[in-house]
Amino acid sequence: MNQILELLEKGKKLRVIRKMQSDLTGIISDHEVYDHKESDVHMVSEKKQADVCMISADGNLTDCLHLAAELEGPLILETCFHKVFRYGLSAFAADLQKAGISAVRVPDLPYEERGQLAVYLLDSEGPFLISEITPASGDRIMAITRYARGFVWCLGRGIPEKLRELPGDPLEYYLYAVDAACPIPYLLDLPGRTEDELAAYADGAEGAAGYAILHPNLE
Amino acid sequence: MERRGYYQSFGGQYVPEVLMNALGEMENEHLFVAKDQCFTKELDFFNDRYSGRMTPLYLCRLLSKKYGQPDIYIKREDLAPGGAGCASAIAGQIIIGKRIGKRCVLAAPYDLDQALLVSSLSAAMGLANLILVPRETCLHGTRAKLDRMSLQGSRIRIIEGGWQKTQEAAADIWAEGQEEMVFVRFRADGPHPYPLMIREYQKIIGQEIRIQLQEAGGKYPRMITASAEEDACAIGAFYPWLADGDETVGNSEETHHPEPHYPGIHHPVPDLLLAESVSRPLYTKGTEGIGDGMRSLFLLDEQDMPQGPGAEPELASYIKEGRLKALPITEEDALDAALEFARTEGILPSRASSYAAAALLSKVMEYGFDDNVVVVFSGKAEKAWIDACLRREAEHESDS
Repeated sequence: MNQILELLEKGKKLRVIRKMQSDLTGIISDHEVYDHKESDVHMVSEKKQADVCMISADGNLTDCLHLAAELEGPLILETCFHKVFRYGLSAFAADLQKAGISAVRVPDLPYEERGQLAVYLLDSEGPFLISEITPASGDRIMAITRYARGFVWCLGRGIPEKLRELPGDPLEYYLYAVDAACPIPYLLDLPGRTEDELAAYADGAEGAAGYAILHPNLE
Repeated sequence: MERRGYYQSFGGQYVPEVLMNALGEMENEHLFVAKDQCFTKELDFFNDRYSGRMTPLYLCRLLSKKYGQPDIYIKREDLAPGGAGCASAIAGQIIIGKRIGKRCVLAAPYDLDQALLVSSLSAAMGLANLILVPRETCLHGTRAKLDRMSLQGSRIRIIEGGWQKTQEAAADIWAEGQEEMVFVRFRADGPHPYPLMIREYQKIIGQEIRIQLQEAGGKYPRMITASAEEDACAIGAFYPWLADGDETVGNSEETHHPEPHYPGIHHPVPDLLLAESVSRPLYTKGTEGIGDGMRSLFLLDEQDMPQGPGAEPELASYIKEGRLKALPITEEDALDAALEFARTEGILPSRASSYAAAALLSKVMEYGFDDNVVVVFSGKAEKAWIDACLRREAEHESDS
């Protein structure tokens, strides 16, 4: 069963922390990375928030998948599409499942190109390909979210001038629009915000699945 | 192009979601203006009055006589402003950007001649510009070019690192400023619709070759050669002939240079030769991968990641189909060809054009006395290339 989908079904807010593959290698025995040790399962179920580790593949993808297989807890893999392409799309999808990864994020694979990988990730209980929306997505949000599973990655970058001219926080207008347009939960990725600010946005937005901390030093 | 943005398996749009809207705007406007006389007239205006088109098609009388076989012609794209052969492509993209309301041109050129071209054309069209230049291109003797761009109102940002870092920086800046910025490219590569747009604006090179040879004597070329490293000159020179492979002669309504049209007469497609350096054999030994927003052929490094710019997707597809041939040329042959053209015709080609010149000289004897062969030159010979030519000449003299 997909651990992230399980957490979302239980109504947990996700706190996604990015770790670089190169940083993780060598500290996999340190439980700092993940939260869900077997003995703590009963405590986790009482928390409203669940930590999810996002491994950013800055090295060899094969090594990254082996590393992921040794980690516990819900995992997201972030990689560029070139590495997936060179690995082989169907082999990659199969190895994602074997490594226990719940979701994969490929930032340079937009909606128009995602079909070639998504076709291998159709198992409803297997890993899912994360779709991404931005303020510039506009009318495409409906098409992007139609076949999305789990949650949508909501990137708060490239806010249009029209929104910036309005009084108040332009992000709030954007999130209001995303709330209206997005039928599935969305994860907030808002660059330049502290964790407290991210948590406040996630709490304030009705459809937010949680937030992501991408800066490696932001703990 | 069967699937939108694809040429066989090459092409596509492999960019972050934040840039998709900007690409969509460019594509929509490009498709709209394809039949728009206002756009065509404005582009022709800049091509004719600002860039001085048609560039000459020069008959190398002495070289042709020396080889005793076909007539050798040089398409002098190196006489375009700044020597950069992509002036039409840049002008077209800037006009598109202006039409969709952009106020600034963003560019990440490979060299300072391209940067100067963007600086000049955007100033002429009343747009601001931001040019990102990799530190490695700011060598000795380039201060004058940077100063010239500053005088033309350009904002220049020097990026620490090479081409890859500059492209990443450009993508970041464009993502944040896409409402007011148009990003221009110099080769027919990158994410769709850039390969399509640039090919359409650059095909004027091949159309001019056709017209000029008709005026010169009525014989179409038997071979055309261009360098893979010249900015979009190859696809521009080749495309009208490749498109001709299925249909009639080009579209005379869309350019104010009327093209001769002989109904019922089939003109054979000339041999199209793409010259590339053996030290960078992208089209002959490249590996398919994803980079720079497209799926194409790349040279991969030790980490299996793309190293440098990739192959232009449309050219890669024609080579795969066998309609175009890629020929790897050594640096020694390129230097010898450069010296040959310099001594015999008084034209020292740039580094990239020398590879095309070498490819032409290697094949020239396969054609007959009645044939025409054409080589496309663009760019200026930089100091490093001139020094290399001098060393090569010294080697020849010491050998003899």
